[in-house]
Amino acid sequence: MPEKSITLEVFRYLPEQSDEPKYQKYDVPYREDWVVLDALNYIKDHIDGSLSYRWSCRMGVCGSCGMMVNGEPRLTCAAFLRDFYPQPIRVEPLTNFPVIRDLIINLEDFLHKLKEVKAWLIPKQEKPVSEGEYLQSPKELATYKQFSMCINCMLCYAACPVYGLEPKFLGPAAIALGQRYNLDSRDGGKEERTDIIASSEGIWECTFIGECSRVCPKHVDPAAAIQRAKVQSTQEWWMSLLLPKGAK
Amino acid sequence: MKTKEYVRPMPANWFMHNRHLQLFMLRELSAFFVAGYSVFLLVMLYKAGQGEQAFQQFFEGVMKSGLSIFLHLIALAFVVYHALTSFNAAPVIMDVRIGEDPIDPRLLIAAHYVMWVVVSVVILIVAL
Repeated sequence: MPEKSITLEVFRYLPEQSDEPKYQKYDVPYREDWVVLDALNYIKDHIDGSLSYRWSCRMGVCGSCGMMVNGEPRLTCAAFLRDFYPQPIRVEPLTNFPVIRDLIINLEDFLHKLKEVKAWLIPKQEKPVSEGEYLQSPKELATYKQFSMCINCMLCYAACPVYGLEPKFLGPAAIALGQRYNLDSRDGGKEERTDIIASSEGIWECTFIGECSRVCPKHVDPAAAIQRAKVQSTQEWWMSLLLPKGAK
Repeated sequence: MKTKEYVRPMPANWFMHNRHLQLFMLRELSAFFVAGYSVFLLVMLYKAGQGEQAFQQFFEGVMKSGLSIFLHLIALAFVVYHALTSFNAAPVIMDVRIGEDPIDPRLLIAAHYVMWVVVSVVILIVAL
């Protein structure tokens, strides 16, 4: 019996050959348990070694194999061929990002935004190691845990039309991660982050389309982080207006 | 060496890309009807302030026309869509917890519907 196969239409961009991208078709063996990333690896190993793409863990943790699969931002390690078979699968680099080569996007902008939002713990009070850990109750952990599940895969940026139309927008993951630390009981950096998070290029640029949360493979729900930050920011603005100076 | 990067332009009809984006645009459109009807209510209030006769004239002349009824039905559909999508978005916006666990989102949505019915009934009682 002839082996079943499936066609992948892959976005190719080779800047040294052409200024324009093209789509190249590859027929790969169809296996029930294969994901799109397996098919790409098959192409790379057996058909065309010049194909470039990022991947690492193959298990939905590293967040590096995000691509557009039939127009939807997906982790290719979690997109099974069986969900598309026998139709061809179109694989493209994540939208809203410049393409460096084939399926590889330039992620400098996202990395810069992560830095801008200070997506790391800024302790309320630094203490020496000898004083032990910064303790936290399970209830305190629960307030931010969901937002800490982000793997920086950038699918939310590819899904967000606001980011596509206005690249200055801080974007879903950076805001969700900023909120992750703002909500952390051990963190004292909220004021440092407010200028950027509550700016017009931050939460107020978001129109609550919700695509970021729909495509998030880790159910982080960045849309929730952004809307809650808007509520919080509005409350704080009113409080600062109504309460006498110095009052909390 | 930095090579030339390829930038894909955003298509003008990006909101037709999938059903979710189409529904989002429909919701954005519904906001015009919510705002428009708010202005219309203010005009009605203004007419009521001019006395019973002026209001009756407005009511008979404008409100009872076929076009007015047609526009009212369209506005009603959009305002209801706007309200329902707002209610359904409540659990995303509000983080209500009992202890460590967030409450069932359906409960939060149901609370909005209950409030809607209660407020509507109160308005009806006052109006009648």
